[in-house]
Amino acid sequence: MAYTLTFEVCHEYDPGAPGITVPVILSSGSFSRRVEAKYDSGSTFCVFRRGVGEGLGFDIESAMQQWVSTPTGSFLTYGHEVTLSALGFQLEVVVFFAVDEWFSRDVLGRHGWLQQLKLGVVDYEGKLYVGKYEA
Amino acid sequence: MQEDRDQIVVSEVGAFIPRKLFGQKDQIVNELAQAGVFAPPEPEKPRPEVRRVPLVDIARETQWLKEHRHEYIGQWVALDGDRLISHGTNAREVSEAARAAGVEVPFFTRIEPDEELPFGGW
Repeated sequence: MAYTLTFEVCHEYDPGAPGITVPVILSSGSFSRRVEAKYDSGSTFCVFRRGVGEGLGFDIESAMQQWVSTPTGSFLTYGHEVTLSALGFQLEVVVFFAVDEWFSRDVLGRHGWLQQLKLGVVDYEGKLYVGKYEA
Repeated sequence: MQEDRDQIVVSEVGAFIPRKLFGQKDQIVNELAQAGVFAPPEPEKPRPEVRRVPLVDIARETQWLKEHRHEYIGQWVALDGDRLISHGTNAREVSEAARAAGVEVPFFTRIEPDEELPFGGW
């Protein structure tokens, strides 16, 4: 059986680089910042470094607390509402900012991003196809 | 499993009432109530509205990082194209400096050490 999906955007990334890198704009109030994030379908949430949240003007610990588990342990985050734009699509979502300064990666995960879209990956060619999810 | 057969079991698919409890109306009602059987179903959360917007361009910033990252390891940098607006170890101060410079949507990142290991995912 064959399946067909259609996408509106094709994002080309460097398949030789670690991870699939996606340019993102995060906005809150009068702050907007462009950042790079890794697409990570294994992450439940979109998680960013603490400094990214501080750069958006957030008091990180003032919001909803959320522990996140990894194969080697867990870390604490706090969720804040932002406008997230990536790969031609924008949505109002809650993303999480890691409390610890050592946290060194920004990722786009399922809640807040992947669940609102449909994605196709051809990793050998470094191509990420993106479309809006329609129920 | 024998233990389950003597108790009311409420799961995602429904409720199981063992024959042993038939006639024990108060106990059945109490246990079902505690399990949330009589609570109104939670309304489905509306999906966030998804809008089409222009693609985010960071090509010039990426090039700048390739050429200069070794000079700012461990620091937050704010860039506007290939122009360094501000840098330092305090993210809030670096971001504020970019705002003060009038850059509306700077590229903003902390430069991590070059020896990036392969990402294990979560």
